[in-house]
Amino acid sequence: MFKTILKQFKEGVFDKNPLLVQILGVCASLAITTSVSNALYMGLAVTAVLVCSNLFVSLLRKFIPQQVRIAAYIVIISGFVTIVEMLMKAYLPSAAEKLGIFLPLIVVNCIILGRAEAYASQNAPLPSIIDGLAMGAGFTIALLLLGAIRELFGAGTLFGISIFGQSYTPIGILSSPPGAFIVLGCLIALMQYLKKRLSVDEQHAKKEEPKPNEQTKEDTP
Amino acid sequence: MKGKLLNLSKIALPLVVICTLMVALIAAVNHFTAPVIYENEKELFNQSIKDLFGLPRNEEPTVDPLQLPENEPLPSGALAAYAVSIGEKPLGYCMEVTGSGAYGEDLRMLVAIDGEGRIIDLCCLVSSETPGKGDKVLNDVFFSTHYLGRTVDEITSADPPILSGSTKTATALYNAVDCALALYQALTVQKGDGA
Repeated sequence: MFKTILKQFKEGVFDKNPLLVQILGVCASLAITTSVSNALYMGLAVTAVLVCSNLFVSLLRKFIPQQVRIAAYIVIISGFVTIVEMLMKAYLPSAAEKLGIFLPLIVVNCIILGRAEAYASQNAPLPSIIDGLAMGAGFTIALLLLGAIRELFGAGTLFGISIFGQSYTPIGILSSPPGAFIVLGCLIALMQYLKKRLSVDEQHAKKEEPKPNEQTKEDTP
Repeated sequence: MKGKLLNLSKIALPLVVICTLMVALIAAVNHFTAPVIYENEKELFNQSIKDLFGLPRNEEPTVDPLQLPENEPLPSGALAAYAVSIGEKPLGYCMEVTGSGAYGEDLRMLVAIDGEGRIIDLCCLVSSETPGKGDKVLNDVFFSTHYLGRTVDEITSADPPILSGSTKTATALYNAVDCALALYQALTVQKGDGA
């Protein structure tokens, strides 16, 4: 059980990262990651919606007809986005203000509909919840990386705290959409390199392992 | 025919059930969050009034809602008007208005006006402009100070300042200020003896 959970988290964060590998939810990611705090709030909101919608879709998977499954998923997802928006406005008003129009736009984030269709509609509730957490964690980590790079070098701050001091000249392009694309492209390239490197290492490791039934020269009479 | 109806109901019924379920869930959450959101908005409103009149956080002004003119047509976008004072000392007036023509929904703004009809300060309560795009105007120092100290004649006779890439938001801001000053004038006429 623990190994399965770990495997799902590894998939969500690394092997099938929604932003850096599957390239889903790019629009909102590029627009909101001008600072680390915005990235964190967006990541948490998307994770909450992912977990809740995966759970509901999984619970109702045998009840929803195939012909109207997408419409049903959209109703569920939009319901939870509304709930998350109300909860944020009530208990995290500064976060809701920072996310602005991008909070209700979580409804059209491909990650959520994609996981509902690809995983939650075909699996039991508990694995679906873990999948939601794993994908949400992967998305949040990717957003935090993007937000940290853009805020640190584009504004010289992290969480609003000046890091490089007054003498630092920010790289203005990183605060704008073209800069966001450039940073995202670099992160995707880095992820692909790491995946390739890890798979090569795994292949080498498998080749070096002796086969269990292989007889050595010393063993033969 | 019966078969078709049955097939249709097999598709429609689950959708109806899911919609009902989600609506019930949203209503339940709304029951708990609506009062909290209302208190947050009230707190934001009170803090905004203090900021507009430059009052320290520990000072509580008296905010009296004013009766809007009934016999005259109100300027489009006028929501409410308040007389603000500290004890017996009047500080001015605060107009709650909307600015039409924004990229998203109308801007909802508070405009503080002194007894002579000059703008003291203004702030945006609610905006759905694109962060980093339209909302540049709302955060720009030029726009936040451009209207200060101006009267209704000075505003209506001048062209609205525009920021490239945020034209609609800049226009909505101008419309909100124009509406606030028109509301002030309407209230002044109603009062008869001036503000």
